[in-house]
Amino acid sequence: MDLGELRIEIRDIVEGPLVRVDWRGKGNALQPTIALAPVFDDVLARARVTSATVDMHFEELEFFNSATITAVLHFIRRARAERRTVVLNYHGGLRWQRYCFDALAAFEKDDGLVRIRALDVPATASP
Amino acid sequence: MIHLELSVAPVWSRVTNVRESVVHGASAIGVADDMAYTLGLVASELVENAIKYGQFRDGGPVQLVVRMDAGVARVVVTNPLDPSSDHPTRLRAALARVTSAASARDAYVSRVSELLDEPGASAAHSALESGLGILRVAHEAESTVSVRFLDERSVEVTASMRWTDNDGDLVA
Repeated sequence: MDLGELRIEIRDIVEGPLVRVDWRGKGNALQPTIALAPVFDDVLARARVTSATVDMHFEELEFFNSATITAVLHFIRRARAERRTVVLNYHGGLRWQRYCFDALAAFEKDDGLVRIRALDVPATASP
Repeated sequence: MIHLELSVAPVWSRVTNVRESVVHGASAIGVADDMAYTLGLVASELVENAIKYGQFRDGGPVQLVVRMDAGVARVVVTNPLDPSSDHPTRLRAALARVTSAASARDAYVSRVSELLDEPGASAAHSALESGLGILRVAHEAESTVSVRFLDERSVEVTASMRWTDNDGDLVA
């Protein structure tokens, strides 16, 4: 899926089950929620089928602006409303990702619906 | 001392060029990678705000200055302003959030919390008007943000931060 300079790949992974979403490139749109709406609809639709956890990977993302962060927050809100677990994985070795995602760790609650995970090495999907 | 100055046409597609020019320009003259990235992030968030909320009917580009000297890095963005718009109020509100919170991180987390819980807010609207940009600049760049209304028709936003090397030590 190509969204300007942002590339998002969605895969269903049986083990878990997971819907894995890989973010790459740069999220620099003025109104990313419009471009991302069908992507997020697709992710949630897939997750509903198998009651999957949404496993988002940002480790290879080069940049995203605050509007794109806001779009991700809205996705989390939608997923929470459906009691869907969302895991946000980031590159712990990158300062900007650490600062950005570490602040979101404040929203990890006892219900486990949002989890923030720092990875040292970019993860690769299961085959 | 390092001084970089850019005139930016108020066109959204220029924002990426600005960020990359700042990052690559700073890296090319030996600024540490994390510092260069942070400068690019700050420049792009401030220029985004300027283009979103500035008033460009009478022309006039967005002015960007990056100045680094004696352990301090400053990113200064100036844009024309419609004094009757809510841009000045929006800027003051963002700054008030930062200054009234215990830390820039707390201010950022508080706004994120609101965005997660905002009932009925349109996703498209709040992404456009999230008010997260200035808070992100304060938090992620560990910067002090200030606003100066130069006259009735232009505003200057400055983010000041420590100029550090790759080990986090101050560059004198």
